Amino acid sequence: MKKLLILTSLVVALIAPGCKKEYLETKPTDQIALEEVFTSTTNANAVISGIYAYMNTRTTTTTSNAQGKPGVGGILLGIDFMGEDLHQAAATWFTSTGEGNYVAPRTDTHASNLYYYRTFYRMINNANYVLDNIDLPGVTGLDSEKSRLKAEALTIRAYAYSYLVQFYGTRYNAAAKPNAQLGVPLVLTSADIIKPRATVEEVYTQIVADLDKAIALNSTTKTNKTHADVWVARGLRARVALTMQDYPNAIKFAKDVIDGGKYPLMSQTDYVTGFNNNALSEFMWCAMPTTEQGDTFGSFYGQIAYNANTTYMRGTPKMINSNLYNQIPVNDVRRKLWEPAPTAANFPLPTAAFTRRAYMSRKFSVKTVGDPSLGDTPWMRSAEMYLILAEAYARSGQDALAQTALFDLVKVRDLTAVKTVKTGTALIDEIMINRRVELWGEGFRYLDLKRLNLPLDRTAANVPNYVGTSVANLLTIPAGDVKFLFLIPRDELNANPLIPQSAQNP
Amino acid sequence: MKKLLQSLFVLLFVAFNAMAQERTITGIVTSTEDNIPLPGVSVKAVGSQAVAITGGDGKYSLRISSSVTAIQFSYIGFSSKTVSITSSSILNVGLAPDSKSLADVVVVAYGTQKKESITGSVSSISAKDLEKRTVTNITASLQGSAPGISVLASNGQPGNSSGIRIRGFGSYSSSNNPLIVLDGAVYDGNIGDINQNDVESISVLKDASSSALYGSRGANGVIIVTTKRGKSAEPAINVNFSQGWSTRGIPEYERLDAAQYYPAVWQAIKNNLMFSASPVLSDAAAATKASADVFTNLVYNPFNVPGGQVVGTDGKLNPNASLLYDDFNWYAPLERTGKRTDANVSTAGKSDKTDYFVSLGYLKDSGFILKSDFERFNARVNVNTKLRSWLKTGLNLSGAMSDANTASDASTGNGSSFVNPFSFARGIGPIYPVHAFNAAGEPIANSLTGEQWYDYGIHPGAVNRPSGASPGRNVVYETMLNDNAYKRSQLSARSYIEVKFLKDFTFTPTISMDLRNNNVDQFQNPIVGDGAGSNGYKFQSNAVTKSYTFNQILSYNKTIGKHAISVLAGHENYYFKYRIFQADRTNMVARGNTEFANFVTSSSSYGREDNDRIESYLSKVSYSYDDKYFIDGSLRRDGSSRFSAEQRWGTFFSAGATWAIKKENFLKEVSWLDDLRLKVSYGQVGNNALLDGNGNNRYYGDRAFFDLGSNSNTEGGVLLASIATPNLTWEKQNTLNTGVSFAFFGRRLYGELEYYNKQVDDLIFSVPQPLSAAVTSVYRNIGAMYNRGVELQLGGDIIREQNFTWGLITNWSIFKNKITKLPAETPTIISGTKKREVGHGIYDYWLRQYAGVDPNDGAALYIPADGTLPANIRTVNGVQYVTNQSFAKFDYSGTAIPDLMGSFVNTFSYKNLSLSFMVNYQVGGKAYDSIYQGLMSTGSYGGALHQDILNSWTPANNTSNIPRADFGATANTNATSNRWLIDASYWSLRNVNLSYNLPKAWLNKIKVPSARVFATGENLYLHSKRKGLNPSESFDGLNSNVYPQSRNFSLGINLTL
Repeated sequence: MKKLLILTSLVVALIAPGCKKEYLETKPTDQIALEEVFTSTTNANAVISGIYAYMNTRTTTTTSNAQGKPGVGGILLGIDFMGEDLHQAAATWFTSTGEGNYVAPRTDTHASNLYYYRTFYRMINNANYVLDNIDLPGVTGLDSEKSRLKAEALTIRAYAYSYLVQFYGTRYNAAAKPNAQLGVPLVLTSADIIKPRATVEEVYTQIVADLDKAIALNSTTKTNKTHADVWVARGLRARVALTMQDYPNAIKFAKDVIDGGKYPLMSQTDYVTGFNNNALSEFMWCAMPTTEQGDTFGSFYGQIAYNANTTYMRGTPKMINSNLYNQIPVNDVRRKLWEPAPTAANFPLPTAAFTRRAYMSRKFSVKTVGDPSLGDTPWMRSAEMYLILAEAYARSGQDALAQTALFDLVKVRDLTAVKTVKTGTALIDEIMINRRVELWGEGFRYLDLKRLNLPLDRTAANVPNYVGTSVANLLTIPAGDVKFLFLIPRDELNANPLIPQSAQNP
Repeated sequence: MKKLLQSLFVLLFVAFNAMAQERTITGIVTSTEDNIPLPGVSVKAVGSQAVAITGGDGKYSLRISSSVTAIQFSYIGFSSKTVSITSSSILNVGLAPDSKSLADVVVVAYGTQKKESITGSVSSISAKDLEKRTVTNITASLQGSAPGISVLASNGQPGNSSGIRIRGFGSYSSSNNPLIVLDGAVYDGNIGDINQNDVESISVLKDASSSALYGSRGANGVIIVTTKRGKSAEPAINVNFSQGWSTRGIPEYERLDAAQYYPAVWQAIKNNLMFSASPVLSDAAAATKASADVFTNLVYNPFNVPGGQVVGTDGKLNPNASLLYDDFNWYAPLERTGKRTDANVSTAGKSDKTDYFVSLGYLKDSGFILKSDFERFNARVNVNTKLRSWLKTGLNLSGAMSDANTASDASTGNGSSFVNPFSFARGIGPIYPVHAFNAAGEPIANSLTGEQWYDYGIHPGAVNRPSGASPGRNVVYETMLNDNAYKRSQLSARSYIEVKFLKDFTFTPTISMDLRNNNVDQFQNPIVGDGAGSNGYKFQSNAVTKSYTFNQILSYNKTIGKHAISVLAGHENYYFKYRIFQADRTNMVARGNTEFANFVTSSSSYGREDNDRIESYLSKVSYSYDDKYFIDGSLRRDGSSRFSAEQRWGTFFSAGATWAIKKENFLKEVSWLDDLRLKVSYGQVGNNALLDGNGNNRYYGDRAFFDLGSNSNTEGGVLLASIATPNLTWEKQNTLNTGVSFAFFGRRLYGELEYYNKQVDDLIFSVPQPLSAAVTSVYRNIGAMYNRGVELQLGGDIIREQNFTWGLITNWSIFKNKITKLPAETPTIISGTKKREVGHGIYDYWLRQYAGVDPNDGAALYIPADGTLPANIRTVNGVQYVTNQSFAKFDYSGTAIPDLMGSFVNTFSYKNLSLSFMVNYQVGGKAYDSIYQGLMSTGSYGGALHQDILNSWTPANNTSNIPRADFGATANTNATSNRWLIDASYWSLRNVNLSYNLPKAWLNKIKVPSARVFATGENLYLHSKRKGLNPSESFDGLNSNVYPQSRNFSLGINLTL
């Protein structure tokens, strides 16, 4: 019996130490709890920075061809390939992967469709967490910091919705208000999980409200150009107003940015340095990856920089619409960004394995050949503001002001330029040609076609150097065609009972 | 008459002998299977105290009194035999191995149990069964071993584990993998590190009453691996050596060759220009343009006619065209004859106080693809000693060092990567050579070395292949230059102290430890491929897994008359820690050195630690009466760190009973019935192995987290990764198991029939959230599901002659899986190709409904989704269809779960020769053949095409049931739909083993007690519905570019010295 007692106490002794409650408390080391994030503005800033990093990182939404999907930059490239001014000779990324051939928008399970949709919603949802939590009493930090974070979150959210509504809704038509056609679900708080499609009008109302709020918060201090300050909010407000054919506001906000003088146009010398550096004066908002954050293949520059050492760039140089190129005046610095007849002498390339093609581009360059295709992807440049201003003036019948606004840009690009005397449609055409040349590769052409209800025309008459087989010979799309409208991704329909098949786009 | 006389004579003789006082009987005991002398056999005179043990040579000598009429011989692992004695003083006996005997002791949860007393469902595999298999990873040996165990066809990568499911699918978003227990404790090493030669037995616990003692981890069944220990007094040395060769075990899909390819692409370009281009061209214009475009898009022209003339406007290969070179088989330079060498030496022995088993093993298995191999050194020491009559202790220590080169395939996350040799070689068009040729068809040689360049896009004169043909890459060259290796070291220790006290009590504290160190080493060369852009890339990671299981078990065993009772109670503590560090660098300095120091730029680094802990209390009570009625029950309480404090404790239980009917008086006299028993059990076990979307364990599933590491410039950044689900808890599985086992006609026919119903409650679903939500999936305990099945194992000794036997064992399993509950707010869960809904199984396909081909333009037709706008409808012969797959209707389309699965094993033996073969099969179920879908796609120029493309729709072949090949319409013509489902029935000749025991007469001359030579074949043949398809590649019916399983052939010898 004594032995039994000894042993029983032994058992108890052995069991007892294991019973401590904290023994079963564990936590991850590569994650941070929600509650810890929103304890200070410093921590909350990490959410905003996380969004910016995400905007410049290859997608994880889909495993299909992820290196061709470097965050927002990949979307900007994709939608430029959906136009006629940026193209390549072979059916490969951005052409046969769903963008240039318009398969992605029309296929509800397409990887690129999923990627476009999810990228912007992920930005929106992370921004919503900041907006929901930053004013909680537990968050320590200066009020000015809270305002800044709030303003940036609002700007990010508006930016994301401004793309979503243009992809998944038909164009905003100022003449047909309210635009009751279906847009996208408006997810505005972290508690919003299942939302129906809001109308295009409602989405724009929200975008404008967010931007107006962000502008009112007037956040002007920022660590670097990755942060969306009040100038970015104003620029975006102008961009959105132009899309809404709200020319007075487009004029107002574009003018605000230009007059603010924070982001003067680049010099001619700077203009040909490769569009890869936040230090360039007219970069208003851009990614700023470090070498560690770089990605040789899955980055914006990995897809577009003429000297990025990737198979894609070696074999498939990006070309400009030769008709468009030929309209650039001879002394315009922008002419230097493309080469109609490239040779080893006039277009040196890192190795002999790079292909040369007529009208190939050198607009974008990597910072250093070999460093992982590094560059600071531009999300907004002040040149766009001049173009918005000119176009908005012209489209609202203020030709003289439009001529001046355009000349303010053109005179910097072409030191011999004279102010245009064109008026009416001719003036608008000249502004649009400048816009197409200036913003080539930065994600505008598809949106412009849609915004202005234009057809897509890649036939030989309009784009003599277009290679039809690169896009399965999809050379024309009539204005307003259903191809310009993205189908809501199937994964959204499957999990969202408030978007039945009947609410799918036609 | 002669016989009668003989018997009479014997009887008289015995009677006469009985009068004598004492005598000595001597003899030799051998195994009937191989005639090897058996040392350590207990020899006992029936009805007296006289006992002897056979020596190392199998000889015994027993002194018995004259009243003794029979002697009993018994030996573990062999059927006991009682032999009547005659006048002769020499009695030689052969004992038969009794793997099927009910007297078998089976390893079960926290102990061993006589097979007859088991109330649940346990299958076991002995060392003898394992001997027939030459597998590098023991998981493959479970294939076909027993009903209810589904094992995937092994990946051909040497050393890879095969997926195992026991009795259907117990979970959706948590792990379905059975728990692996090694020598009494949960094993956290890699199962590939266990040396097959060290394994004494593998028990598979299939039902809740068997696995309830593993509580929160037992739901998916438990595989208990027990290693060998010393058994015989005579020290034995065992030497085992085998040499094998391997080749590809599954044929390639039937693909177009170079001459067929150009015209097929021409047709698909022409179709694009005529039907899906905008604007479209006329037939003639399209034909002319296609003849020009086919070359500009394929870029390469291996024919002796100009590119624009390879295919005429009639769509036929130019009759004058012939190949300039033939270097298009990318498999050829990648493949080799695999070699497998397996050498083992072990010694074992046992004295009355101590037993030991010591082994050393070496294995090198080089796969049939370059740079895929697995080399392992194993050592084990298992020593048990009785220090006092009441105190016993032991240590089982094993170590393994593995060194492997890994081929990239889907199982390593590289399904469609350029470095995946299988997707590359399979997917590249048949006109692209491995080596570089110029336009004239002459080899392009390296001017320095004189060797022909590989065609990799950067060599002199390089031309970029089109996007479907992996431009700028060369998997042969890259495989040679790159490294993808791992080094693993593994240490496992199991130690215990066993204290017996108060006669019937035993107290056993046990400590078990697994320590694993895993180094991954990857190098991407600076010349070609992923490392070229950054002048060489190096990645290295080091992961350490440490786990301890510490338990104290108190047990009580008592037999009073016909009553036997045993009670077990204990406490267990489990501690698991995983730590990883990884880094990569780019920009290589000097060629040939792939250490970090030889790289200039640090590119990234990462590290993390995970902890998992379980605290448990367990108990079990068993009672039996007269070996006729058995009942038992168990209870375990677990607390797991994987759930919130409110949800983490759970209680699991089981109860079971067995009735040995044959032992009842009313059946005693039925001579043709050897055994009949009924059993029933019920229990509840849990599953805490929550997984994330990538199949990795989720240790902190209940809380909201942001991922670290999304840094922007110098600012730290985080991204929302999960939202809080504090109510998350384990899945609970309630299993009813009933069975009947039987043996007839002197055990000529035997088997076991079982029925089970596994009901899973609180089933965890990763509920997909809208893409517009904060996170795209949330884990919730929302569902219920059952797996109900019937299993039959039926064996028979068809021929049982003295020199010739033929035994057949067949296994049959059927089961149904059905979801019985999903919440109102998410009544359906759709992900990938499957939809989950009440009344349907977890692997029910949910696909767009393909409806054939429009004879007018060859478009693929689909059934329209409800509510499709008229603008999207196309009416063909009065029936409404859609041609844009996005508007096609989804519907259920069968299941990936087969109707019937099974295996049969035939064993023939003739004298010293034995031949066995195993066939696995499955009937029914559907496979989604995505590889075939890919090969039927004309989505990008330069990709390989399946032979079936030749039969696709063309204006001339407008009755085809294959839609038109079209480079502009493949998103719709080849969309994911039920078109790609195919019957998943198959049969496979899994294993053949021929062995020969060398005759004693020869062996005696060289003083070798026994020797066996053998030849083994693995995966010799697979028959499936489509050439190239392996229906047993996955459980969910999908396939991918994996390393095909290998066909192996080995020769070996086993010596006992």
